Amino acid sequence: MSDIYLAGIDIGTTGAKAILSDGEGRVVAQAGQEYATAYPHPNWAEQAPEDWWQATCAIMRRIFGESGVAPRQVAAIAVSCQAPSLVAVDREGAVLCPAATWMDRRSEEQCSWLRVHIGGERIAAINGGRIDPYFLAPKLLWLRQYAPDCYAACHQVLQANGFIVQRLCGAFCMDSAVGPLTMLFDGGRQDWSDELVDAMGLARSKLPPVLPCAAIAGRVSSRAAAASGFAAGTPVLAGMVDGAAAAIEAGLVARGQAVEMTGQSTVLMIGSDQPYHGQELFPLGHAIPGLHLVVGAQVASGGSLRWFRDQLGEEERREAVRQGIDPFELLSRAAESSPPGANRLLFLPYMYGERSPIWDTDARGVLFGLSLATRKADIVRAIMEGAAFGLRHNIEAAQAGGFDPRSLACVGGGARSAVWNQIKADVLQRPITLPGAAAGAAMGDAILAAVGAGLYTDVVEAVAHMVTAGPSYSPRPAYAAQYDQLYRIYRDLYPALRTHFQQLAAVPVNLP
Amino acid sequence: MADQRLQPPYVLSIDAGTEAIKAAIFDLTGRRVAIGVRNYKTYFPAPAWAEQDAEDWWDGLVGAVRDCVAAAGVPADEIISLAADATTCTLVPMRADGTLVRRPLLWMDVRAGEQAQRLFASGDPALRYCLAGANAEWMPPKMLWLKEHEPSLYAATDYLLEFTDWIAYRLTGRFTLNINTISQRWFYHTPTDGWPYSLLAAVGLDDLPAKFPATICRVGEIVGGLAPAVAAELGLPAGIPVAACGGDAFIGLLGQGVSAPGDVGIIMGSSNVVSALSAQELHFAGILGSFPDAVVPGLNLVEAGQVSTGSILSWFKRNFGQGAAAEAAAQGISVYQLLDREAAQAAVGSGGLIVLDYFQGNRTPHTDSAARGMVWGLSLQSDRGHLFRALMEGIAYGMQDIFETFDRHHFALQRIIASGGATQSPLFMQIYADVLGRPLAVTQESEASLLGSAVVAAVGCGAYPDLPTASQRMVRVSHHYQPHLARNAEYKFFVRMYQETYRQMKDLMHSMTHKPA
Repeated sequence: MSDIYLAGIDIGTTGAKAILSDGEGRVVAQAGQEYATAYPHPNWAEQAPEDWWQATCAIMRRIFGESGVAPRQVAAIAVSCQAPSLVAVDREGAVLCPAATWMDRRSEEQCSWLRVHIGGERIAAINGGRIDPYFLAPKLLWLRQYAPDCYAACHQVLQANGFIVQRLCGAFCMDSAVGPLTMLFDGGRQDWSDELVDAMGLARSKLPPVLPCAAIAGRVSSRAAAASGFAAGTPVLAGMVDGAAAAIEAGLVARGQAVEMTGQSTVLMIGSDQPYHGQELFPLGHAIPGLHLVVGAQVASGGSLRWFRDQLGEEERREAVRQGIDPFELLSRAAESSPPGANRLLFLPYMYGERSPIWDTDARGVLFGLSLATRKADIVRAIMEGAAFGLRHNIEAAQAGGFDPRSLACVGGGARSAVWNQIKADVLQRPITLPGAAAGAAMGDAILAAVGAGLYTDVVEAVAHMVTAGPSYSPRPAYAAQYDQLYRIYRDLYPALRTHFQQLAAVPVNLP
Repeated sequence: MADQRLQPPYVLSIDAGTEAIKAAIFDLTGRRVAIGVRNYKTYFPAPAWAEQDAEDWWDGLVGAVRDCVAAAGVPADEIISLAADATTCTLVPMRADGTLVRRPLLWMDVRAGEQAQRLFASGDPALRYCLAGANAEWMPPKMLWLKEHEPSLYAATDYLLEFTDWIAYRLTGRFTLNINTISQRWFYHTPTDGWPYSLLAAVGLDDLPAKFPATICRVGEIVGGLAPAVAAELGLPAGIPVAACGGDAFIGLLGQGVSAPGDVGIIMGSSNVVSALSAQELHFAGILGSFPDAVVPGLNLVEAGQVSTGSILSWFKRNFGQGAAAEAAAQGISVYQLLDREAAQAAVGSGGLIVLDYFQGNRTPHTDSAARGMVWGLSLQSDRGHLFRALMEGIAYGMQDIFETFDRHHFALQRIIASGGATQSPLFMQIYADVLGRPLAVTQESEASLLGSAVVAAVGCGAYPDLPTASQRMVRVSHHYQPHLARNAEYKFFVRMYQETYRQMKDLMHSMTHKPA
């Protein structure tokens, strides 16, 4: 198999990343390139789809240039992406307006309309999840209301990976795994819900065909080959949403297995044989037919630690440069020097509002229990523990809905911190495993591509061959009671402050 | 270098604070000739604990006095008297031979929270000075903690002193107590009752008064002459009078010119001590006192305060300002000045941050040693300047909370006079004036306690007939900060949030503080 390679490309929130893997899951080349997010108004977050394409072409040309792998050796391509985004294109695939990304929260007004005219229960029953500007439907309703020309000219509404797929092979499609993030999806049928589409008065014709993730959408055109460096004719799969790709990378292929991915945010995914129809968490598809994901998503777990590094970690940043290491490594060491419980300090990680399970845009970060004995290391540890408490909150919400994870794997940048992994094991009182090679969602894409290329019969077999086991962390029973106590206080903090968060959010912004 | 207007003779004053000990030489019109400063360490062996080392104190004292005398360049024999104030409620347990049985418990140490609650539960009439609850900082709870947790050390203790009395002992060899701290912190009642025997008996401290020195001195009364060996070590004339002094903040009133009814003095150090003078006796929850004759004879002293204020800014600088040291040095300013500049960029409300300043509990109006500090409203946009400003604003909200308590009980506030290290920050003073909605006067001598001790020393040697006269002659106001009305209006919302946050968080703070480690 060594002369056959699989290409995985992830269109992430901060940049694109691509890898080439062999059939055994060994990464032979990888490259990444960042692109910008524009925040033209409060609550807006936009990216340019052309940037995604340019970044994809640039990193693939770099990979082919540097790896020595011939484009013809690539057996298949799979693309994953941040989601949902609203990518409006015309018949030729030309972009009609900047893409509103998952972070874009301009459509609160449309959400209010949905709550009144369709209702959260009906949407949960068909699509699953709750009405929130995060999802695609309110974004699309906003477009129809405030940019009617763009809506009228729109031939298809794509996701970021669908846009790249269309550029590569000309086909318009959407992968089935991202479906529930549209709020227009029927999880049981794995297709658009005519009922919801009609109820919202949206044009069904603008919604692309739904394909299974491993289905071949088309083959690389000669024009795309010239731009990207891929060989013309290379199979292009429908791909999948990044969460599903991360789940595969971490080896989640069955009901009851769970993965948490911490980068800027933390996303928890639990495998289920039933689609999720609650409102505290939300559903996502999986590349394995019949397998579904129940998802809990925080907003600024890793983001809070990054905030600390940038705003209060000047010393650590400087010291990291001196030692030639990552400042997060120094922050991890600091956290390790503080005892479990961070000397009675608690942190609520709601520094950019919070998604599940509280769904509160107005929520803010809290440091609770400060004393003169509090050290910087205690604050760093409290931030890590706060993120772990948030994860526990999501797991408990999943358990309450009948989705109990049997195992938990950690991936993403956060998993590089051993102390953070141990904190999670102790707070959750369950073992944590890591995959052997952590290359991110693009690795999950490469595994999917191996299935699409016919190397393996299905994703389960591909994962068995391509994913190895890494280090694991055992919960320390000695800390269980203490973390239980702290967690209870953590849970009481938000209800006590909720009305204050709302009042604070209503205060006009002042000048000095 | 001695100013040419300065006239001999001089007095030497010592102010033993939380983070440093200072010695200064003043002339009899209150002009400072020179100062010496030495820092010492505070040990925080556990949350809510705070201790210092008496060896550090003495080394600091000797160093500060010698530095000061050397810097003054005046003949030593023109120094005719001295007095030393110190932090109030710092417990020094001693043997009769002058050695200590353990490291002193610093005033801010609140390990005796449970003992304070038991003391309060006794319902004894002596508790009228602290209707909101007995504070763990005060002496009887600390002494009770010592007896219960370190019984052998308690048994070995012959004398229990305040820090200021310990200095007087080291200077003169005489064990005494001063009227100021025992009436404000040991439940001693000057006019009639004396020691609170029934209160002590109620918590099993019947044997405690035997450990109190028999001699009680008035503020300004001579404890003794400066012992020859100490005089030699300090470079001062032997035998000059050492005047009995008191707690730093209260002696500081004399250094602020606080001497008339309606006057409020705030000493802004590591804590904020608020002292108001009232013609009437006042007893209500949310203040301490009133204490008759505690500083100015004939007036009642109403006390309020915040446990951790300057100490919080110092905590922030220690933890998060180190990275800014190089930048500050490059700009030729201090780290505090750099943090002030960053804070000045933030708007009223610090981008929506609310800080509760209860890092070591709340002194008034809640008298809650189990309260803890918190910051809420953090967002990814919050930067260091927002946080530093939010700490200053939270401290000012705490002060407004105190004045609202005064208002509710019809205390007719006339004048606010501030001194202390924080007054060097114009931004911080303006935040206070804006939050309080009242003018704030700042004294020329920022070291109110040092000047106050100089007032005491001047009375001790007979240069003035009484403390108010000496205070009026020796204190000057340098600056008035006026409130900005629009900002005051904006701050009202944040003050309300601050007050509601404590109400909401109180129970959770208590569970957090009392959670087993």
